[in-house]
Amino acid sequence: MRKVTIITCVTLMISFLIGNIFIDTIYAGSLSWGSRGEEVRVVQTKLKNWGYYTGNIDGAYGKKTYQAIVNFQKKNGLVVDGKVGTQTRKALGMTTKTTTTKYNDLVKRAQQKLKQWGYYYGAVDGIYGSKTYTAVTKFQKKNGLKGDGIIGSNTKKALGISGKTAKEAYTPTSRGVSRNDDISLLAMAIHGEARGEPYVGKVAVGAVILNRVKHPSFPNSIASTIYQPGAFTAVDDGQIYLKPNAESFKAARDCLNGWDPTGGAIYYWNPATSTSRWIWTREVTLKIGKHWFAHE
Amino acid sequence: MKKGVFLALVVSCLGTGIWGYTQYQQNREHNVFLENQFQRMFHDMVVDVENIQVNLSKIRVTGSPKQNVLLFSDTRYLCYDAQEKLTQLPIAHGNVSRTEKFLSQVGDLSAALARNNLEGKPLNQDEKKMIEELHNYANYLSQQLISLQKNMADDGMRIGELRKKVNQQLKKANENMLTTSFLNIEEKMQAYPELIYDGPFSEHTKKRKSNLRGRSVEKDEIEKIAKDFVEDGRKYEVDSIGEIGNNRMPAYLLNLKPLGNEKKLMTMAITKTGGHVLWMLDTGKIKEVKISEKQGIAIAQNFLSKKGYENMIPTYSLKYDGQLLINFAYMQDDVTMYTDLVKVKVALDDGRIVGFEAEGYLFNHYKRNITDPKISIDEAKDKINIYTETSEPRLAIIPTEGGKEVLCYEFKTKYQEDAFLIYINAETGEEQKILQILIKDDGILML
Repeated sequence: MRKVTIITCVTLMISFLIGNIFIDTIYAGSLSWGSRGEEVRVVQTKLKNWGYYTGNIDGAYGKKTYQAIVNFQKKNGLVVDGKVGTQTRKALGMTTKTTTTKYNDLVKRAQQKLKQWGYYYGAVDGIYGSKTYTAVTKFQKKNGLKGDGIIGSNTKKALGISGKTAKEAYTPTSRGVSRNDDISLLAMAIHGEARGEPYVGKVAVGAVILNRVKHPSFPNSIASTIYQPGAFTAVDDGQIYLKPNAESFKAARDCLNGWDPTGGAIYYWNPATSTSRWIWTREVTLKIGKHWFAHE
Repeated sequence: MKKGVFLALVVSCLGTGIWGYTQYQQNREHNVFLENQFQRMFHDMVVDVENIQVNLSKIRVTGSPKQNVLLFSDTRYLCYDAQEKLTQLPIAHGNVSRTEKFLSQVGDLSAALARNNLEGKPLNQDEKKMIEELHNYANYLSQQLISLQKNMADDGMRIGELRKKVNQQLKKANENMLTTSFLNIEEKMQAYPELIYDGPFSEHTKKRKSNLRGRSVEKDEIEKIAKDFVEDGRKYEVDSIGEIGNNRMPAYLLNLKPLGNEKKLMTMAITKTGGHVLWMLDTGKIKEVKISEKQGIAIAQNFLSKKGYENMIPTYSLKYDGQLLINFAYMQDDVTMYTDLVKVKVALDDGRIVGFEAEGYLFNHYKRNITDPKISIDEAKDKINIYTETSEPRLAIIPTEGGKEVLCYEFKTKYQEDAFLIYINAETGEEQKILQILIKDDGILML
């Protein structure tokens, strides 16, 4: 007799335990009266958008939610049980794929994009919650997509996160950039203007050109500065087209790499040959070789 | 006989005539071609300025930051375009420099304000007032240009004529209608308010004071400083050749000639405050390359620590003309300071130092109090484009366009074959700057 009781007790306990373990899997994903949480919120939002639900979106499965679901199920020819199971979920447009509470790499990438674009403010954790849902629908509406909160192929495309990156040939940028164009133009100007000067005087002339580029009263590129009408005599009389020698090139590279012997000068002139009366009104701040330099 | 001479004379006369006529034709053609270029630039500029003042007034009435960003970007483009056109007209620089500056600064300011708007900072009261004032100036400029344009059309005036007058100093400069108009505008532009904002042309960047401290160094001390700096056991003849008299960083300039070697020459600048070597250039010839880049960097690093520059880390290098240029940045508490820069050039034949430049370091360096970043590493990572391969970030201080310092996370990222440095502001989480790293045969460049 006692044995029987013990066996019954043990079997009951075991079955209770097993039940406990399996109850989660059996009812997983299905929402019913009394459920709470993010998913309920999503369901409520959906139903409210469709006009079935009139209460607050509070994430609690109450009377109003129940009624709304029953109405929804009736209208959509589903089993009217007031529970959000697989069928109802499908009809509501909530695929389990994007609404899992588990980590999902796609969700994470979408969250990151949405955050960068200012739609999403939550954590980038790869878990699809209500914040992600709101962000996705907001994004979809702004971009003329169906506002269903599903990260489907169209949404992926619009977000720019479609699985495969474009397989088109990508040309590395470094092939399309050269600093030699700047260097040879600068070397030409240095050679035309200062080929008889000491090396530092050459670097100084190049530095003045670069200082002008950075100055608001002068053009904003090396070419415009050098070719500004009346700015450099060697440009006006064509001496700039002489072939620059190695030293002029070296000087051009040194000033492009930051050597400025003038400490920021924007004018220079040769007092022996200068014809501009205006330039003599400048205050001389430095003399190198035959050239005088001024800062203002 | 006489007949023959006469005939020869006629033929040569005719020949000269035809030659002269074709020359005249060609010259005329060139003048017209040039005039067309000038006219097009002038008219484009007038339209630009008209639109600048329209945009500035629109900015006063828009409510949305997005519209503001669009208007500011457009204004910026128009300003740069107008400035560019104005600088290419043959008008003496002294007659338009204020107007050119006005256009540059308004363009630059627009770029800074567009950025503010994107970061969610609306125009404050002062900025609104400033925009209103600038609008009035732009409006004045526009009116003047329109009336000038009309007068030019009425009189059939040619811009190309200006070129001749600029070169002939005998004629009065203000004879010319164009010059007079621009001189009038220039006078008015003297008065426009000083613009201070976060941009390269802002008024405050010129007035920035150096952080360099130290006693004032006399001229008779610089010889010793120069010799101590070189210290290669050779004897030098030191010539003082002048002074750099700017306000930013006044310095003595001197030449060093090794005794018995006339061809070699070193030029050096030594700051008047503290007596630091500001820059040095060695013009000696470089022979056959024997030293590797790695060795070159080690030599430069060793040289710097001997000169008292500690905690310097190499950031990029470039090989040219047989020498290796290395950029060093200062590092404090594991934060790289891209403001405190020193450049060293090493000759790759015998490993001597042939170039040195420390203005960035001397001007900016001070002991900073680095605050902890408000943004965590993970938050910063979220800002990075998902298609790039990204390394672990490190902290760095970088200068903004206007010379302010911002603490950023520096990410080295890769997209396909291209490499980039991305800076995420550690206070606000904004993407502050993107640099592209270009690896070429002669070194690594950053754009």
